[in-house]
Amino acid sequence: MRLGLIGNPNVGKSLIFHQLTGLGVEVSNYPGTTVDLMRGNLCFQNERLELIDLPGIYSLDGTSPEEEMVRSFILETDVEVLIQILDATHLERNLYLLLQVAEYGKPMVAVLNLMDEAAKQGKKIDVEHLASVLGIEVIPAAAIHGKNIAEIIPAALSRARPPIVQVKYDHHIEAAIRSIQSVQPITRLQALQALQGIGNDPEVLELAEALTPEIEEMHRMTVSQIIAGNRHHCAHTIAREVINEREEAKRDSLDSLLTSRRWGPPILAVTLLSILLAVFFIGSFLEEILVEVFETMVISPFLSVPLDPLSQQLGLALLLALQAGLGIAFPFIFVFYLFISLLEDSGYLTRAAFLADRGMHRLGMHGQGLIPLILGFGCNVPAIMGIRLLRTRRERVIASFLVSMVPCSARTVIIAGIVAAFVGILAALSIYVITLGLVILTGLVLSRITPGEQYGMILELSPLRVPRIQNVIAKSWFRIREFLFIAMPLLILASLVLGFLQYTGFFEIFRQIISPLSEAVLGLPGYATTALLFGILRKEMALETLIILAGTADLTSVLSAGQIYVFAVVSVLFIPCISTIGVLARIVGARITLLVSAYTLILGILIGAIINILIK
Amino acid sequence: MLNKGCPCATRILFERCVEVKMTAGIFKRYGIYPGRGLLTPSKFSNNAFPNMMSMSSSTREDYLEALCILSRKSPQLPTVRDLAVHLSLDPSELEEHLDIMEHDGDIQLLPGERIRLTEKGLETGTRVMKKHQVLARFLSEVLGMDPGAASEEACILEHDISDETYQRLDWYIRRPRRRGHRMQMGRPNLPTLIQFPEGTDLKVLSVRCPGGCERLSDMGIFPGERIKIIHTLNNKAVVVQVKGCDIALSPEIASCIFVEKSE
Repeated sequence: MRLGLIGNPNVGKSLIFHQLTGLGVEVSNYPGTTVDLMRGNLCFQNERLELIDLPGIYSLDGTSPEEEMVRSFILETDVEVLIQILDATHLERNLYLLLQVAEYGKPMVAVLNLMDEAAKQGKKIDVEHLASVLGIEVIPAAAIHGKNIAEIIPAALSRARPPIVQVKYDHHIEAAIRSIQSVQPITRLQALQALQGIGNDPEVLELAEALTPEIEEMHRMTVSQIIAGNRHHCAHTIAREVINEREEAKRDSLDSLLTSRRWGPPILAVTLLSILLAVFFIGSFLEEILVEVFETMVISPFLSVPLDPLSQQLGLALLLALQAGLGIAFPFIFVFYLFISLLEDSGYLTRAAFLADRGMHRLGMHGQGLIPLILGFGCNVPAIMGIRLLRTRRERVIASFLVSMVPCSARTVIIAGIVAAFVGILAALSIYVITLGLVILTGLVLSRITPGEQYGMILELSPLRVPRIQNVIAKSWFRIREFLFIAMPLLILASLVLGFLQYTGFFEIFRQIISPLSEAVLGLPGYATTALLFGILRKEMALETLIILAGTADLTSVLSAGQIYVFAVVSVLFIPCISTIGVLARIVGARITLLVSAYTLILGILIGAIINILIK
Repeated sequence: MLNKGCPCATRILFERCVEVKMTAGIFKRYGIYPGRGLLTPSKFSNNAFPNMMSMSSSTREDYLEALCILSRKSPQLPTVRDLAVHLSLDPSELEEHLDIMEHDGDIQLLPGERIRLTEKGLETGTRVMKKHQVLARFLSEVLGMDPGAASEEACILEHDISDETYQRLDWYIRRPRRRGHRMQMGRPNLPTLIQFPEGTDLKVLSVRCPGGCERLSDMGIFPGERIKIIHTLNNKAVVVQVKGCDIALSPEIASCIFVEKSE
């Protein structure tokens, strides 16, 4: 049996999902989209149930990828019961979505979450009355305290039924529905969607298109607006009936400070900068310990075991890959995600997007583009996945360039691992300054030359809440899983290939070919350029390969400070890693991916060459 | 006027218009029309009905317009009763006029008191209806009149406006949608969200987003809704409170939300 969780963003849907399913969660893409779908299995009274967490949406008639996906999911898959999560503090807006879901006629139960916060705001909700108006069971709950969560599944299995509530639409809309239905054998829902231009049947759409101008002319609003107005009106009427003692919610003075014109931007800048610095320092500190422990506990014992050269080479490559992967994953990516999840759960991330709106406009995007850019500091892959939230292709193209250039954790490892260690902290930070400067410059240029129009930000500011530490850790863990289970195997495989190639002496040949060019342009020895190439597989592998090829971990004995600096700059800038390229191709297409790769390649070599000339 | 009780602005427009027609109807029975003083004898007076009360062109146009609206509303042909209700007149008062109109070939009276518009009648009715819409839009969107008052005024002007003026107005209203920057949003004379300071309570009058405004409607920003400005930034990005939620908007979005101060 299949159950779907549906609701607005930020109503505690994911929390309830995790509480119901525990750890056995799998993330998959809905066919034909890049929208994530979380599935979890649970057992209830010896019956196996599949629970699906649908992405948070505002409407079922919208055009965003999430909204389209949820719509087709409800229509096409055999989901048997829908569990709608409602936010008791914003009941009216949540009922708007429920009224739409009700039109699909699926059996439903509603969970009225955040009852504790509503009570704090002095709102009393008559749950029984709400249930009788909607015609479905309504379970009052407070997911954060786990209250009544256990009742959801039994109710969904035994007492779910199609809602009786129905929106009364404007008489012109109703007339249009009737006249479409009189010509075409379709349901009321399909006719209503056709009027909003949704559907697959060209005949029905054409018919609806002929009817809409008349209605729009008479109302001087679009059909979607009329329909939305009717639904909001219905939701408002219900909300007014069931909520007693509605007080004007008091505005948080902290909220006013965080988004104020004067203090907001500096607070944002300080917050972001301190997160980056904290990740940099905490990350390099932890990494050192981890690598050290791994070195003494695993690698040294392995090297003392007598083996034939090939197995030893491959075994060492495998262990180095594990060491590198874990050395990045936990100290850098996990710590970064902890901070980001903290920002997100506290509700600050959406405020950051609002504050950044002005700056992001200069770069050809709007406030919402800030979120993928920030995520990019952790790992470019999920950040690129995040750019599909931007609404126009122009913004997605610009974002794909900029995000690919943001120094991710793996690049931080290079900067921290060789520049900070062998050249100095200031030199390491200067690489950040150079990279971010180039990101901004690229954005300024792209915003002028990229064709297409810009569509601004429409973003709900999630309420400020004190984040719960378990949730923050769970979220960070969930995010890093992607790195551990998708990127790590690739890293290990690539490392094995690398070990094998070194054993066969392939590098020696490549080094001889590339050496003259590399020395002339970048001032780097041939093996360093080979290492750079391996950085395409995974960025931090450039560092690992360099150490393997140089034959020593003490790089200062073979390279000058200038050479190390150039090496780091080039590897940070040039060509995104192979996983990023894969995701880019999926989100923005092959042509843009190629452009991004070519641009970053040229930029990397160019900047490397300039620095090489300057420091000579 | 447009509070939560009625999410549909036009329903009120319609009611207003009917109201005007009602009062106008009383006068029209005595041959008095608003906006034009006493009427000269109608050119439609017909010799075949020497004793019959003549019918003015504006009454005829009102009837035909009403019939057009009625026949669009439902698939069935309107009855005399429907027409009387729409015009707020007594059915018996209509009969004479309907007879004249049938004689002139505007309508056909069918059994069961149903009225069918002839091609000629339909043409006249549709033309008047369109004139009404164009006038109402021009008055409210371009001149910034209250939509209700604009519709009332249009009820009067629709009979006298020449075809050329109508066509030019129609063209003028349509043009901004196709090109031009200043006029792009259709309501240049109405204030937009970005013109008000923090803390103002506002009422949405219309929303004209170039890229579609479904997301705004879904979040509760649609004509008739009351919103409050919470924050503005230097670049005119705003946070508004709608239905208890805070929503951040870029300046280009905020500038296509037309609003007025609400008390």
